[in-house]
Amino acid sequence: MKVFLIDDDIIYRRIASKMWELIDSSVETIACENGAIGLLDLECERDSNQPISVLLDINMPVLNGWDFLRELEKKNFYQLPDLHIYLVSSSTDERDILKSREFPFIKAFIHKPLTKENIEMIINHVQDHPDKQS
Amino acid sequence: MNCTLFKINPIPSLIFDIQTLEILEVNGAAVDHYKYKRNEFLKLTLEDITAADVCYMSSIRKALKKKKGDTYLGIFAMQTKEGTILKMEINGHKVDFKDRQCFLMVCQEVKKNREKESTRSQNERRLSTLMQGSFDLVGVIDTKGFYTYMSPSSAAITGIAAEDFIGKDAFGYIHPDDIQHTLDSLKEVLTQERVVVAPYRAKNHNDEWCWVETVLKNMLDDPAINGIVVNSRDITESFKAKEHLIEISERLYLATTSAKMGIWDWDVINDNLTWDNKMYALYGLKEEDFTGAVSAWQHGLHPEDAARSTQELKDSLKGAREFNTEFRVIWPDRTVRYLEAHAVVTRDKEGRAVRMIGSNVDVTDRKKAEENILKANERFEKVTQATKDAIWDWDIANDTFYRSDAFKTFLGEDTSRLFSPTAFGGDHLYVHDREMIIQSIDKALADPLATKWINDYSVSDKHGKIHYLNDRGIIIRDKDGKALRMVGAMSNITGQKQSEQENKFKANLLKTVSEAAIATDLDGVVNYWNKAAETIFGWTAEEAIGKYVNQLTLSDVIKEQGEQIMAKLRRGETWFGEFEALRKDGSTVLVRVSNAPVYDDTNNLVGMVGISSDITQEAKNKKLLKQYTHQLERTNKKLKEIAWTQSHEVRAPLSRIMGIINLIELEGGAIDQLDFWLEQLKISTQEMDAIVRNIVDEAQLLDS
Repeated sequence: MKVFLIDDDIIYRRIASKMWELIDSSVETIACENGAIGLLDLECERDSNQPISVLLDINMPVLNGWDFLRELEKKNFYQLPDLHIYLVSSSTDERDILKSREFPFIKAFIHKPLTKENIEMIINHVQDHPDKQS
Repeated sequence: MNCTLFKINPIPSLIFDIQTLEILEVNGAAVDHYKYKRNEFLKLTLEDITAADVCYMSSIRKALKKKKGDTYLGIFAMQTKEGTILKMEINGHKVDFKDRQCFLMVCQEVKKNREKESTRSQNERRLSTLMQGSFDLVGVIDTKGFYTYMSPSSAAITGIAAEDFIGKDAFGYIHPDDIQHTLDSLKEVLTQERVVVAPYRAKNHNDEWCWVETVLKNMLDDPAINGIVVNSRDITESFKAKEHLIEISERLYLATTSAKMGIWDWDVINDNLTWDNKMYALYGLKEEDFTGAVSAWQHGLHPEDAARSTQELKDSLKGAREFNTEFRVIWPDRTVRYLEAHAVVTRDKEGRAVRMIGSNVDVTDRKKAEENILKANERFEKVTQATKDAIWDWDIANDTFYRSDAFKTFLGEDTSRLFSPTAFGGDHLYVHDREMIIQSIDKALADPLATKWINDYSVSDKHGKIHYLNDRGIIIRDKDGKALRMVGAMSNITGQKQSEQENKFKANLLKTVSEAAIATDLDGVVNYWNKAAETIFGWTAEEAIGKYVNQLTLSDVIKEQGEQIMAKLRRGETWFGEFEALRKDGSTVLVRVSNAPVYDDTNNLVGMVGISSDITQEAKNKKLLKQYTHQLERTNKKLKEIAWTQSHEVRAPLSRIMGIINLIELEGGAIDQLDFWLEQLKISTQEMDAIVRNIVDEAQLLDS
């Protein structure tokens, strides 16, 4: 499984990578500092059959999380059959949560900090429903 | 013509042309008499020697034309060359002289003529004797008015001997005021045979004026008389009687005129009814529309009165009754008038009615007045029944008392004569303040100028119920001011009294409320102003009552609006609103007003009432509250903003710190690069600290 960490907070990206490494060393983490970079990196995975999880921050420079999602939708998720998208934000703002419902393909809204349980939930999602996104 | 005889005739004689009156010949006697010489004479005309006016001359001419043979011309005043007037009696006859138609005129001086009286004939004497017994005064005057004869009766009639009249001027006896018309009559008789002289006043021997009626007869042509016969009669008595009659008739005329009285005269036998002018007016008829029969009278009668009046007329003809009656007549223009009629019946020897004379008087005004009195009486009776007031009439002199039935309604049962001081308040009624009332009546009666008595008092009936009474009397006095009678009305004001008390309670209640209560009449004039109104508007009730409410409470700016509100109320609408009212001291007060029209018991709009409360403080509070709310809202919004923006910022380092902690826990305490993570922790906590400080600062900013 590949995990995309799209967040402008470098410390978060290092903590998240480290945690993913500690919990499941088989997972490859790809850190992107904004949505634009995230899209480019994800495009590289086009037509890939392996499971991909995207942990997406909302507030970011260049291309924020919402714009990223719209772009991804437009691009038809790069025909990735096993794609899991999570919003990860320090925001507890209700409005953000409501807005996330506009995108039914979001698996969950995770409040920072990212915990061990969050990571295990993501792993479970991928293992329990390997073909859901296809 | 025998010239010699003419010349030697001792009587002055002359011949003149009838046409030209030129004197053609004179005799010696004429020359002696007139003092003209013969040749002077022959240049003159008859007119030159006649001291007469045209009238006399024309009478001479007239006589000359008519007469043939011996002619008596009459007595003329002739004038001598020296201007002496001679009274001459002229006789003569027509002659032809020098181929001209002439008149031989023989003139004899009158004086000398009289001397021949003794030669009067026996017949004349007989006539005189006859005339002595006459009541008429018969005299003869000449054309100038001098007596040439007077009948012997003069002594008996005038007290003056017949002889004493002769030669006297008849006009000397006549009243100065009557001379003109008698003189005119004398002139008239010279050309006419007979003239009746209008009555004139003449003096008798006692120097008293008597009324005389005279007939003048021209007998100048009669040689036996040779003058104007004056036949006079003393009509003083009859004249006075006549004058009296005229006076009476004038008086009657005045009486009938002023009394609107008409006189009628009915010839019963021939059914000929004669009316005087007034009668036509009484029946509204024109004279030409009246047929002159009794049916014409009947025709004018009111249908309701015709049969009765006709019967009355018949009865009085029979002698069954006097004709004294009243009836109505209808004029052609439908006017109805009331007439009063009286008549007397004249009967012949057999007792048959032959004539009926009567009068009609218009009594319409009197009848109407009577009817009005009847109506007024009837109305009074009705009023006493209809009114709730008890009507009373006290004959003070006889101390009798009339009471209308309303007294029973008032006080339950028959009451005593409440107003007789002697019996006042007797029987079952207890009159409060009885003495005071009696005193007030006595006082009013004793004051000769007092015309009214008014008193409010109360009585308790036998059940102990109190009746409040308002009693008003009018005092009727004789000319000396003595009270004879007192007529009055008593109202039961118990209900009014109770409602007054109720009103008082309500008024007190109104006094205590904090809202201003103001009542006005329809014009907006204040008639009630409570305590709170005094406080709110600054005017005391005393100052405000009687003034226009708009003048008191409205500034000029909103006066117009005030008038509009008034107009609305007058239409029976209500008004509710707030405005800035003016206070007495010129300051303003914000009031909330509720205005409503006021109706009386019979639902007539009688005024308006307004309840105002001072909402100055309330308005201020409201404004403040609004301000506070606004501020609070702003603060709230700001705080929300802070919360939202800062929560993100706070959560960013916080989540990092928590993330690092999670990571450390995950590695079981043996974490690589501990220094690095500690450093990260430090940075994040500092960042957080800065954010928190900033929040505090911003919150402090909100306060200020």
